[in-house]
Amino acid sequence: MANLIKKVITYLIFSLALNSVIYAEDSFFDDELVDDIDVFDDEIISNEKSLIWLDLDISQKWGFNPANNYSTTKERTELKLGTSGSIFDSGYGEIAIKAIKYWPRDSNNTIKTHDAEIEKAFLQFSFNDWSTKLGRYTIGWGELEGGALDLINPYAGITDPKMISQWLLSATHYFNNADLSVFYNSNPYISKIPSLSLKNDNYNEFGVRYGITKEGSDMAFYGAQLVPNSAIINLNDGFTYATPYQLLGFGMNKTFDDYLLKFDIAYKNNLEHNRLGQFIKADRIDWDLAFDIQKNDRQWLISINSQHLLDFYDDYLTPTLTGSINTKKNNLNFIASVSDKFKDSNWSWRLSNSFISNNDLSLTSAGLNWDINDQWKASLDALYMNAKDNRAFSFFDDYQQVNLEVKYQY
Amino acid sequence: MNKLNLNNLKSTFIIVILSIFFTLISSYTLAETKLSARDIMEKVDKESRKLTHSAFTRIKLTTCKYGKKNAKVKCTEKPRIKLIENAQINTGDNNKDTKTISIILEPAGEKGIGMLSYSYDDSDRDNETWLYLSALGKVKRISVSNSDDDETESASIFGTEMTTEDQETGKLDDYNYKILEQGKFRGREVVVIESTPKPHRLNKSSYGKTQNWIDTERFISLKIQMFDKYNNPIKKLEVGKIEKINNVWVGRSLTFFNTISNRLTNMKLEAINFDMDIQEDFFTQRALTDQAFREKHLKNLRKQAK
Repeated sequence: MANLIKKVITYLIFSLALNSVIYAEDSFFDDELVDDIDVFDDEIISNEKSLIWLDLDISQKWGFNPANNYSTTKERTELKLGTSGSIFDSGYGEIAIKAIKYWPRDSNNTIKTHDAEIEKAFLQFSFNDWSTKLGRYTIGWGELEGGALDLINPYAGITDPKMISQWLLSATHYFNNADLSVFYNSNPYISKIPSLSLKNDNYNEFGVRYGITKEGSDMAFYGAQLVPNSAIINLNDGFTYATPYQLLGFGMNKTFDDYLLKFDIAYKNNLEHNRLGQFIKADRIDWDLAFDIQKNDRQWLISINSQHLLDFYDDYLTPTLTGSINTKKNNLNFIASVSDKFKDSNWSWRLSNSFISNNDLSLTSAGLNWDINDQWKASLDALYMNAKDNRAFSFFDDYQQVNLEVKYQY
Repeated sequence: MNKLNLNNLKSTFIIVILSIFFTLISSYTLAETKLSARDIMEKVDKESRKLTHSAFTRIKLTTCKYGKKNAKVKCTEKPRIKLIENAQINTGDNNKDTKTISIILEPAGEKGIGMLSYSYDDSDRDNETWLYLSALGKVKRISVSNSDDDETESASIFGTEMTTEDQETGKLDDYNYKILEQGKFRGREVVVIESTPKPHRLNKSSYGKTQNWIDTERFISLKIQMFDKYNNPIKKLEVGKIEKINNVWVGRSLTFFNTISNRLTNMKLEAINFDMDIQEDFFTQRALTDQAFREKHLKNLRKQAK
């Protein structure tokens, strides 16, 4: 009997052990934990920025013109130094200064060899439901970048999508799911052809925006007095003018599955325009409709933008670099762009095609980005423009540009 | 001799019967649980809500391509590191919705980018996400993947292998649950639960099903295996460095493995603080655009965290 009990115990131990083995061998339970210490080297884990207050950015840029044996049009080094942080209990400040060295082969070198600018410098204070911001910065209005309402900060140019910051004073009052903001600009930036004088006085810009956030959608109402970002040539006296116009606008976005619908509309009153023998004020309705589509890493942006002149006359004229052309009552722009990563690599690409001003200008651009690591980036861009003869952009016909940039950020 | 053999045979037979009985009994005990799969998932959801209850965390996200070296997982390239400050609160009915704000501190090229997310428990409400892009000076709403396109994944969080769907809590009614296995896993008693999205949820999900290894004592996931809609394993989450902080079990090292692209993201909770005094108005678009407001709140949270 004792032998039997002994055997039972032995078998029980054996069966329980067998039971454990059965569980242990099950694919659900045979996994090993991956420890981050094992995956990453120690020095990588503790690799944190030592000068946390310093923002440093060095870029080397080259530009080539393929239409002219790839001659160098751009060769410059940009150094950006910046810092940001809290000021007292309720304040915040940020500053970024950029210095540019134009090397001998850069087209700007004949005018200047170096330059410096304050790219950003502002102080912001926040008290209860109020916030104020003073300095040089950008304000993005409307849903679409460069759209009907994105007018406060000008863009650097048709070939440069960079936004130029401005000296602004703004204040915002926050409500539940809404905000009311106002801005004031005493000296708005106006671009013009260097050889032509700006005739008018200096005007102020000011505006108000009331934004509402709802579930699945944001919307905003706008009202402003603005000055055109580009001066208009008066064909009668040969001077350029940039006098204020008034704006009433509305912008909204709404999500539909993977799609983000963006819509802006603006009524612009007192826009300067040329008629045969006259320099008049015209009214215009601008609107844009865009779809932002995100599919994994691939992002599409498809937009249509319209500028519709009210009280239109057949003798409306649009100045060009070489003279003038007839203005069309309705001006349409189409833009389609796509960007994605190459599989799961550190390389990404983008492609964009725009038909500007009723297809007077077709602009195609392609880009390749190499995200080398957290500090180093490189990019290659190519741009080609095809313009109709005897239209506003004919000067840009067959414009070609290839840009290469290497950037280090700390 | 024959009698002896017969006795031996008899005793062996009894032993075998007893062994089978005890084996079955022990298996039955492991298989039997008073809690259903749904009950366990509710407990896990309840525990995970403690993690988002007025929490302020400093997170390091490390992403790289990986391979195996000496049977160990290793980065095969220099990892990308993002340092993030993150605040979360639970709101809504029964505190089942979550509001989150994340601000990138490093790397320099992404410093100041902020993300605001609202995650709703109600399956009829789509989660919302906004991104602040400092270069444009504006907030952009992000369309979070909700389509029925099989190939579409949820939006990646700051370019890592984590997606907005991986961060979701709640929406328990959107899934069917079943217990697949029970046993010991990494020294803990676990139950493996399979979650299959119901048809309306499947249309919005990147995953056809997930299997969740749940510690039945601490009600925390130790591992999650994600499958695509064709039943292929595509991603897994490994939870390590589990600690009890303020009476809440927390996995301080979460590693997401994308087994298709062979990329991983490790989310390391460098500092975590619960039951912080965080005002709900911090979780608005104002915190993205008004840096003074944001810094004031973050300073207050950093002070509380000390």
